[in-house]
Amino acid sequence: MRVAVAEDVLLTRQGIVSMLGAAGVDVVDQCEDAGELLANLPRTRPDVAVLDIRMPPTHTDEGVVAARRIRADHPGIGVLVLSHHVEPVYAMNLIEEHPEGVGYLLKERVFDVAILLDALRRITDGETVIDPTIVARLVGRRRRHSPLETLTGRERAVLELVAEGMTNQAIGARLVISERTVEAHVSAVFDKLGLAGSPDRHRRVLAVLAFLRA
Amino acid sequence: MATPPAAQPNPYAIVAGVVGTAYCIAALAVMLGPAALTSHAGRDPLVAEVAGFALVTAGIAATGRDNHRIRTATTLATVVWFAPVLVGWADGPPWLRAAAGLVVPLLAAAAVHLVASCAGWLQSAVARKLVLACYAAAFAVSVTEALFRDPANDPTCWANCVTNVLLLHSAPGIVNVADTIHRWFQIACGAGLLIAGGLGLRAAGRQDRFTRWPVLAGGAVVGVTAAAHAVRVSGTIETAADPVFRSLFVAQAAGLVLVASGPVLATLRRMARRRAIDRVTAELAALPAPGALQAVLAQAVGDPGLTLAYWVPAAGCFVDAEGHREPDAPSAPGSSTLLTRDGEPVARIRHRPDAAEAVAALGAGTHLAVDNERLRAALLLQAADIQRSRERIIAAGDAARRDAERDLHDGAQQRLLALTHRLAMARSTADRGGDVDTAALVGEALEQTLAGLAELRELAHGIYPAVLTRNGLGPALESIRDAAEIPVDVTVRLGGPLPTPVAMAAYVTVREAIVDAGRRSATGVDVAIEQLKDRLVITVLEDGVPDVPRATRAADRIGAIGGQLRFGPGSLEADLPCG
Repeated sequence: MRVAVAEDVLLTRQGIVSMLGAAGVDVVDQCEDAGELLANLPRTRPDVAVLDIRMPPTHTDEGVVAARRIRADHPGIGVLVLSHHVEPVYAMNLIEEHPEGVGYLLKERVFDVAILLDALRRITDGETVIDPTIVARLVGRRRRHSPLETLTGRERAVLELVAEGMTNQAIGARLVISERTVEAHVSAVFDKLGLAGSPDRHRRVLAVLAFLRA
Repeated sequence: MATPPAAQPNPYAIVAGVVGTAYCIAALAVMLGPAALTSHAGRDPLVAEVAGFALVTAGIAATGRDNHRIRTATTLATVVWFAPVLVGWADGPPWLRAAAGLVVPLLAAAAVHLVASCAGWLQSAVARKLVLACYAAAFAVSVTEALFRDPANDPTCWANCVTNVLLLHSAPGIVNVADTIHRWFQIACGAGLLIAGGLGLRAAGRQDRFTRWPVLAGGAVVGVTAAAHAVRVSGTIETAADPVFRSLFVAQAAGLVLVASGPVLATLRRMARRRAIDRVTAELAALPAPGALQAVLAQAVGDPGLTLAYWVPAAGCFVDAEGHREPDAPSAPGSSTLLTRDGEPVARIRHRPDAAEAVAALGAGTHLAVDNERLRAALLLQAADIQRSRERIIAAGDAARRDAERDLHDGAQQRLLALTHRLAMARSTADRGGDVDTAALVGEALEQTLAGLAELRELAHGIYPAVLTRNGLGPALESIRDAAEIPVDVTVRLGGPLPTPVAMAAYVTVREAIVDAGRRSATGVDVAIEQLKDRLVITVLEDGVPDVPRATRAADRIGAIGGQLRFGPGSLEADLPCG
């Protein structure tokens, strides 16, 4: 797997690169900002670009902006945005146009090599990856009259994994249940929450996140 | 402005005036008639009439709190003043001459009454009783004399030596005693008026002395002449031709005129003051509304392009009527006129060169209006400066917070991140080496580092909400809502991006309101934010305990951008300008 990395802080960039190298990933580019990475893309042709959300010049959400450009200009390249922010708005901005092949993870997550590799693999498979902390925050938010209260424990777990961008197969593997059971749970959850019936796997992430944010 | 009520003519004053005038004219008729030289007044009718009319005029003119007392005193004094004329009226009815004879000895008491009323002393009950006692004593003497004096047997008789219809029994001994008492009474009254006048003038302040001296000095003159008359009459037989008696009479008349001039002058002063107040009121009412003077001057001068700027010494600049700084651009010769006072600039008028003459003619008449508007302009400038200063203070604070957040992100957060990386590597190395204990220990350290990172993230977000500047108020409030301890519903309707200070103020206000509601045990909060043209209206409804004092720190931020914050029971409303 070919990966390009853009991260302005040297210490962190070196950490990510050495982590990826140790896991056998081919790091084809290391950049200090998004502009350099974008310029190199036609030459480096990575499978996934890993971007810090916050880079020069404004140190706000350059990573998200660059990611959207990559998804629009190079549909074959997946994008993983690393962030300090748990605000769902950044993740939503990232995935609302092209949910497939995009991921949003909290930075500290990437130093768990298993999680990092899993995320990269899912992104190259065209899936969506949303950090569990963000989903947990959305699901755990205090509500007055929450339709979430009508969900069973298992349904709630399924909902969270759907929001993280997992496929039914992956959810089944995680919860150790069959894919068909997952399907049944998903359709029960969508019914209870009043969401439109079984959309495709990318759009359903958007639908669930939009519901949780509302 | 309410118009002051027109002065109502006092009916009592009119009656007193008409009767008094008739009395004075009747007395004049008697004096100018035959056998009239048996009184001092008959010898100097003009002097007598001047004093009489002065008293009548004082009665008519008296205004103010004591006007009825003054009128009573002047009426009595007029009656007493002309009584000797009636006594000496040879052709007059005997009863009238006798009645007048009863009144004549009351002169000293009437003088005391007159001075006391005109000096305002009769507001005191003691003074009123004293005046009454004077009248009673004098009347007792006069009744005694009337009952026991036989004019035919009286060697001192001069005015009426013919008839006394009241005569009960001729008793020259009793009359002598009564005469003596009367003389001492006159001396006492005279001394009293002199002393009271002197003390009164001494006690009066500088301003009061000027207005009171006619009454007090006149009273002293009347008193001294009465006393002198008493002394003179004890050694000399009184006649109208005697130069001493005549001089005393003239002096007494002059004293009465002085006393009578007191109430008249007081009323004239009151009227003058009233006119001055009316004039000021009219001038103030005619002042242009604040900020409109420039237009008024432009119209008066006939130069629609005329501009008026005020000099504010504290700021060292010219400002317009609304307190905005005026550029100090040079103007063409003759097209700028500086209004100065005591050498200091006050205002600057810019105009067409051909309007210079008209501008110069504006002169002193405009000073009041210029001062008025200049004061207002200076205050507006000061208020605007303070407002800008508040904005700068808040902005500086925000900039410092943004820097602190960035420092945290680039420093501590990155170091902790690197640490998690090293710890993760150490754990996997330990795992591979089969060192389970070390792996567990390092894993624990990793968990703690991750917890520290999460706390640091919340801390950085609390210091400065980066999401607010990048993604706007809606997502920033969503972030507050997601982390809140109690259910929060947020509705945001914006027309476009907000200026950063407004967004920050709204954010801080909502954040504080939610935390505050939770502190007061609210079970939920509803936040509505709506942008209306050039205002941002924030409404927060909650069900927290209303009696607990509310958090109001956000008020400073709101005030700094010129907004308003209002609290109601279970509600908060903020109105922020965002034009």
